[in-house]
Amino acid sequence: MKRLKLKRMTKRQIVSVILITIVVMIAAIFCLFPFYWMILNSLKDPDLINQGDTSLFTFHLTWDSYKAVFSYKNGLLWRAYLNSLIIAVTSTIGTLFTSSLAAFAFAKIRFKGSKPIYGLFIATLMIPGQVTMLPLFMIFAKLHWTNTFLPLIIPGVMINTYGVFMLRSFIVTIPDGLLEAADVDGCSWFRKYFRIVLPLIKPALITLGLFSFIGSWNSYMTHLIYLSDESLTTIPLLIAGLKEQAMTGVVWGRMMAATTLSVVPIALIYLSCKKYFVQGIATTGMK
Amino acid sequence: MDKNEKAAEKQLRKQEAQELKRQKKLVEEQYAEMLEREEARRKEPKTAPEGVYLSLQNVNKVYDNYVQAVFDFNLDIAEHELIVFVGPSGCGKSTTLRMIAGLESITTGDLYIDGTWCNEKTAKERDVAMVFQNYALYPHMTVYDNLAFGLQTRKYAKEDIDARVRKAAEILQITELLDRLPKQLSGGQMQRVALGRAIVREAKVYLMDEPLSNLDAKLRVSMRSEIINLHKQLNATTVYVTHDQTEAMTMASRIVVMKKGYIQQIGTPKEVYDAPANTFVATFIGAPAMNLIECEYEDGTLRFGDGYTLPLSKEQQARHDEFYRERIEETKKRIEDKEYEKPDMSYLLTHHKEKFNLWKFIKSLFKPSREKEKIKTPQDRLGELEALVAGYEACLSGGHKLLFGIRPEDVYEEGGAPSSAVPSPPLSLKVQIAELLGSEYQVHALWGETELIAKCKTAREIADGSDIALVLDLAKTHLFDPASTKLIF
Amino acid sequence: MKAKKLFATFTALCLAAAVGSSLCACGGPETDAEGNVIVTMTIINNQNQNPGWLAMIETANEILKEKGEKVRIAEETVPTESWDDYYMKVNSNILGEIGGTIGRIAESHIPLMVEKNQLRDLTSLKEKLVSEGAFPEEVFGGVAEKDGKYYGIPSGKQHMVLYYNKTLIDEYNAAHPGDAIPYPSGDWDHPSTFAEIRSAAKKLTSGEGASKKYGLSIGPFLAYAGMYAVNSGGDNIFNDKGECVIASDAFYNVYDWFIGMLREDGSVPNTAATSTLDANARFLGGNIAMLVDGIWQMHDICRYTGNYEIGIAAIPVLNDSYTAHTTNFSDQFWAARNSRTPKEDFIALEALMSAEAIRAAAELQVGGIPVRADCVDNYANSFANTKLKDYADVVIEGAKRTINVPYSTYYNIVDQQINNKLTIWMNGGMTTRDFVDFMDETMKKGMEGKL
Repeated sequence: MKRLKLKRMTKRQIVSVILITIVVMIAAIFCLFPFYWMILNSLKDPDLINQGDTSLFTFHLTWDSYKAVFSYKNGLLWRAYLNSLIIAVTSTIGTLFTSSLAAFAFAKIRFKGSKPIYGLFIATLMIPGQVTMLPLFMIFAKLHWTNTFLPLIIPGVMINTYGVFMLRSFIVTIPDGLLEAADVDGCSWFRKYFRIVLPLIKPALITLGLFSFIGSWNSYMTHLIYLSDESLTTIPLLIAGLKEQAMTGVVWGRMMAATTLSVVPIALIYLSCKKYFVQGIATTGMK
Repeated sequence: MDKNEKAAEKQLRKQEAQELKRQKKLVEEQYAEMLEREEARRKEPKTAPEGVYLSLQNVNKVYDNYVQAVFDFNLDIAEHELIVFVGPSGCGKSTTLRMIAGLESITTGDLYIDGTWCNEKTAKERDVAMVFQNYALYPHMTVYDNLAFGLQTRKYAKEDIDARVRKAAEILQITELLDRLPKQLSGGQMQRVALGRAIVREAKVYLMDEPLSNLDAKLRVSMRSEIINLHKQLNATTVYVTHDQTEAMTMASRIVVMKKGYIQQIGTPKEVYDAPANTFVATFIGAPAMNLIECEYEDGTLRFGDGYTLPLSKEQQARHDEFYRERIEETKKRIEDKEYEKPDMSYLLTHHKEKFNLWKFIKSLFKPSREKEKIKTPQDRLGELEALVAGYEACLSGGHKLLFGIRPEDVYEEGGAPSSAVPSPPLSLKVQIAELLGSEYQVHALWGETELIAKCKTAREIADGSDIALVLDLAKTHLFDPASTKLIF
Repeated sequence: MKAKKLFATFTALCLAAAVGSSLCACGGPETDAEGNVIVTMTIINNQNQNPGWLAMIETANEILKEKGEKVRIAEETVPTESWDDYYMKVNSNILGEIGGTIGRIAESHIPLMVEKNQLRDLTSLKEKLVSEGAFPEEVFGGVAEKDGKYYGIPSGKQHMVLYYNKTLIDEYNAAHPGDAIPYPSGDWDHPSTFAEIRSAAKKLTSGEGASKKYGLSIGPFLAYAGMYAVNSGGDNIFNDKGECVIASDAFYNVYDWFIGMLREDGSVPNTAATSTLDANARFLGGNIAMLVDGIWQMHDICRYTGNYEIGIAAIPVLNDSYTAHTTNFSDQFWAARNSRTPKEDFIALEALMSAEAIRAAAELQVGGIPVRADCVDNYANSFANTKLKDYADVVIEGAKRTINVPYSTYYNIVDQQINNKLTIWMNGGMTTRDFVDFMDETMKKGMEGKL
């Protein structure tokens, strides 16, 4: 009798495990399919695509689309990569630095009016970006910063309300005792910031950094209105430029190839930072 | 209620509200005045007191909402002393410690460390080391880095840091833990690392804020002796805060007993044990607490509830009279100084300036308001003081109640008292509970209306409900005045 | 302390840089090495047409050099293929007083620019061009004219034609000897009828699912509906009195014809099909046999190297009693009102409208029928060396039978709202009558300003 009972329990477990696995796999397929489709079409024969080929798999793979992207306007792709990278990296590092400084001040430094100022700060999150886009453009036009990378980096660096909000919530969880111990150890505010607060909010910093990077990498409208020179082109502009109105319609193969290439750096960064997303917040040294 | 009564009550409430407003205003003015005075005073040149390593002079801590945490703290600590601040929670001991460390600002008063005036110095400049109650170890650094952090901040040479860290680790036996992270350590190990962090600094003063309170009982005992040994080894000036009187008694070279922001007594463990300044110290120090029995004093004899009498010696009687004369003088001086015009801080503390909270306000509209205590007007206070004087004078002239104190250790079973004791006539009492603690009994006996605790050796078995004859060691008796709770002798 | 100092110096440097950079670039108009004023021209990134426009700009520069003018034109290609995104860029350029001071934009966006007061009054240039005798008066105006003033110079006339895949028709005729499909007629006086096109489309439709081949691709958009209505004896949306007459028999017939081919015959691809691959690509891939589209594709079609032979026909009519008309789109050259180089802009535009410059574009079949009468032949002759040489006259003839889209400030919103309901009607959720009535209502609301 006992043996039969055990068997039934295991069977139920097996069934539930199988069910869960199936559900998760279906979800995974939904998430991964667009990527698969994109990569597949970038490798398909461009003419086949134009003839309306929508097959899910084919052995007829060529590198033609990629070659076309790399040779587009004499290798403009590399220039676009470089520019996008410069903008994204500078703006991410700047954002992380200023946001964490501001978040630290709001969270741990008690100064008069810190609560109302913070409230006002967060209230500005409610203003949609489209409203401020053109006035901001006018400011930069008057500063003669158009056709440079500055308007793409500076606004994010100077003020990133979402970043401050997110990091402040993190820093508030750092026990005050740690900072007091640092006080007694003789730390200045900056030393506390660099040696104690920053290491403790690493997961949050990395998450914010990734969001920042991706946002900058993918932003099209802002790049469109600020950048005019071809030498200053960035990846989103390049992809839009590839989507030309030719008689042959959109050259999908080339677009898919360009899109795949634009995703590659992001994927690399994400894969290298994966453990920080999985890792939980480090337990504190307090009991 | 009767209409007149209602009107009278309404009038009363109105008067109370007015009085409260007046006193609140007075407090605000006093606070502002105090701050101004302090600022002016700070500009004067300061000279440190001679021969004293750490000195706190008239230190007060008052918060923005007029709550005062520490009242007139005066303490001189010599070098190499281990001072223990002891008291129940909320008595201001941690606050004082943090003021010494520089984590809280000193509202009024002066702090001198090693001859320098330190009120306006930062924690770094004061060169103090602190051990926190919850250790406050940096969770992302290894034990080695935790220990080295303070030294790195002060820009010591690398070899120097390494030498010091290893030495401290050896003293505390945590050398094998140097590469671990705090989350991989047990409570006791974290405690040692926290101690180590203080030791490597070789600071002027070591401050410890209830470091053992998070450990289990056995660990606490072993760590206690380790800290004592450490102190002997390092021979550094230490200020130790605890709420456990056992720790205070075993570790301190001097104890400071505090209650509700006031110092109750400063003295060596023996002084505090043998001659507690008031009933609070008497019952706080020593476990089980001192027995306090009510008695009648008349013409040099103490009369207890059940008729038992104890005559007092001539010296004791003289001391008694002297005590009351001192009290009368003191109270008269208070009346002269117009102390009754000061605002009633106890009342105000329960109604201190709270930030307006909308939700609480809305809730308060629906809840019935609690009965508030009546606020004391200056007339009330004056009346109280005068009644006090009258009471003291009555004590001098006729019979009055007193509190008789004797420690359980000084109550013996008849025949069981040591030769050094002066036994009193025996007391025949009924045992309520006899707790066996291995080598001795803690006998709870009923003496009249009150409980008397005695510690008896287990010469024989003592059963609950049995009769017992106890003698008191007359050399160790104390008398306290119930009005002022102070020690008479 | 040291860190504080560093931080303070850093902030101070940043501020100084900002102020400095804003002050230093305050110069005058851009000039090149030889002292010529550079006028930048904004064009959209249309790889099909841009060879022509770039040739036009180059030729214009040569003319300016010959004439001794100290002006040169530089081009700024906006990397987008959507007129809305392009307008976004132009709008911000004008706002910020940067970028191109002249450019080319689709007709549909001109009313908006005129309303926003972004365009310079070019009436004097128009008068000059007309007085030289090269331009007929009627090419100017339309949406670019307001209150007697002209705010744009037409960049060419581009109308709709019916492209067809000769090879597929031949194949069908070979396979069905008794049931031959005639080629759609290229005669604008005797074009094919709705019925003939419908039957041809039905016959040319074959297959199912992903590999289905369609007979005809036709856009039931408001912009094109006008020409079919006129071809059915109706009005181009508005009658002579300016009243909206969409809810009329002509339109009902046209839309019945659309829906018949779409849903009953299944010979026109629906939105699902065109979302995976658009109509142009399908036509060239041999997936669609006939396509109604504009002559702005001409540059690429003339260079088509695929397997099929392509022919050009006139827009079909309801029946023999009507001749064919076609919708014309005249994209415009504009000049920004707040440009700092108005004189130079004028000179640049004049050079662009010179015969040589227009010929440069026309010879590449870009810009449609040239607006300069003396360049039309160049356009026609340019077909001679291409695969479509037999159809040049069909194209030229069509230019004589054009109607215009009644663009207005509310037109785009009306169009948007109609397109929102379009899919519902195409999928059978609305009757044709209801849909046409809805179009009528929406246009009337737009006229009254209720949208």
